[in-house]
Amino acid sequence: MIRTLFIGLDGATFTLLDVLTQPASDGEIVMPFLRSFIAGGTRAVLRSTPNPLTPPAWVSLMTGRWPGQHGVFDFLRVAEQNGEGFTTLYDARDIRVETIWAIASRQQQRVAALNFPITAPPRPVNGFLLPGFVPWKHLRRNSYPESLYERLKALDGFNPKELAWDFERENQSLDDLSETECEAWVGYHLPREEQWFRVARHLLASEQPDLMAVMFDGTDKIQHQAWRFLESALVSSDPSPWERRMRALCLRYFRQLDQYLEQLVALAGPKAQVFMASDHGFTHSTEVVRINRYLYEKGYLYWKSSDGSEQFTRREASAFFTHLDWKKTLAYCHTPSSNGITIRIARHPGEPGIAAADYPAFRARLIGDLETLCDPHSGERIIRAIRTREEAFPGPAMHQAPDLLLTLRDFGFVSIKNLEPVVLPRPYPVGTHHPEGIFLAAGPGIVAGQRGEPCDIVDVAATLLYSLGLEIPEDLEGRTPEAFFTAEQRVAHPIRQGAPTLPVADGTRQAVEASAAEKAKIIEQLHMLGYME
Amino acid sequence: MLRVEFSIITLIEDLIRDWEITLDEPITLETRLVADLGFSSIDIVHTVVAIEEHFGRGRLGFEELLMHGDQYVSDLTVGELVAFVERKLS
Ligand SMILES: [Zn+2]
Repeated sequence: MIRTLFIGLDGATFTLLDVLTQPASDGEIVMPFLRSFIAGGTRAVLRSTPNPLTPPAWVSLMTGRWPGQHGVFDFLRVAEQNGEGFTTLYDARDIRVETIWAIASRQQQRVAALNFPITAPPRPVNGFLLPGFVPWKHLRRNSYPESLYERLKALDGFNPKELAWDFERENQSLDDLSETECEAWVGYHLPREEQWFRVARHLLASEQPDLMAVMFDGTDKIQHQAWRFLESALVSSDPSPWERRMRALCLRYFRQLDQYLEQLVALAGPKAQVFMASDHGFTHSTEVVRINRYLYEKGYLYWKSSDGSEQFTRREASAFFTHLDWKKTLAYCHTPSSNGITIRIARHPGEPGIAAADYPAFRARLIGDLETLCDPHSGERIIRAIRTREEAFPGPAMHQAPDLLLTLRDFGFVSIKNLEPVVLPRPYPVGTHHPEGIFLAAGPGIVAGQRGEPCDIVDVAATLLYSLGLEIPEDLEGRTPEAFFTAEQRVAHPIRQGAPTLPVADGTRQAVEASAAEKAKIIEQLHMLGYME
Repeated sequence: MLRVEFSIITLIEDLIRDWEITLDEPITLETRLVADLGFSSIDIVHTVVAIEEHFGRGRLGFEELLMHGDQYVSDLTVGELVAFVERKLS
């Protein structure tokens, strides 16, 4: 029986959904089902992770832990190799703590988790797992069980190429596309969501898992590229025919999404509790902030001059790479999505970086320099908040996080390119992540027509486990928001705290490689836990 | 260690099973991932994970193989993969 249906909506925000669930000037309501769903349940703002970014935020949602505990900070993981930065992707092996899929599975709950990031390579579950952000060529081997993929292939209309993540395509910027290509880019997300919807519908109907969870991420993708056609304040009052078509296409996406939500909720049945949440919200960014350029101007960072190779030129043009002189650079930003600054510490004499003893003073000076980056006209700080990693990412994984986390005044992502000037107005506003997402609940035992107090993204895991009738592991950082549930529900099913989560093999295995001294310590801990001979 | 060679060739054969490519000859140690099998960089990332998963020894530090100096290698033979994994497992 389906007890709990969870629908993830990447980047969903009340800023937009409150408009799409109200009658427009022509009287149309784009998302009529969502309107009635919200009216019949409880809604709350959901505060995202310190860096409101898709991978760390979904992993916090899936684990009930903040990034300093779970260990995922970004899309890209950068390791230093012979004094150079080697870049690869974060994956499920980086998650240091149990996910709700694992917690529910080991308590005999059947689960299905579809399209969540950082769930590949898949870890065994009592049910089904089809990861998100995996290209179609690798989807079969990353499905759990692997037979799931063959089973889906037999479904009418199943097309892995439409369903899966297209790395090349997703990274395209609309700036480089023609008007027709722009429309095609937005249009590409419609059949993609249809594919995920069909997989979800199939597993819901045929398997009836206790916990059914599916994530739709077209919301995030479309909002990134087409936010100016969506946010009411930005929509042109005198649109060109192309702008009109772009807006119509975006609205078609949300209309279609509303129908998926309606059908999934109907299929789950009247006895299921339904939750929807986003990993972060959305807003618009109006300026480019070239943070590495600023660090260069302040003497913290040195560029490498071109070696004339084709690879150098290609990477120079990419938004995701930065050519640094690794022998001299002391502080730099790895990736735009990190909004973070890494300080290099020399572990041995002669290595590049500052001496460990100088770290506090160096970091304080760096923070001071970042605070002085101001708007020349208004004097307003460009970086509204600067958090140290002890503040933003406390926990055992903290040393893998950037040393500083920046929040720009417009919530934009920094640019790491070597271009002038440091701060530049954008030609038009672009969508960017906002720290406040959404949390919705409805169904038996949930208070109707209520606006709840803001929740934290780590609360979702606790809420879903409670909905399944399970104890909340005492080491979860999130809490079940009691006020979402009716008095009768809370009396009949009190919120119970239980034993802590179980250690995860990968997290420790990775740590084992860290150093011999740490290795000995971890083996000792594993002995105590009875995991090793 | 013929076992590693067999495992990696079998793994790559399975990986590309539904990639809709036709190979003129079977995969050998000389097969190049990019030139012969059409791998993109994201395919290499996933293949590395698949190999690490297969051998169950955690991360093997593939950056040593994939980066020469400050440059990412532009192609890789199956034989280079096999030799790297054998060295790391021994
Ligand atoms: Zn997201």
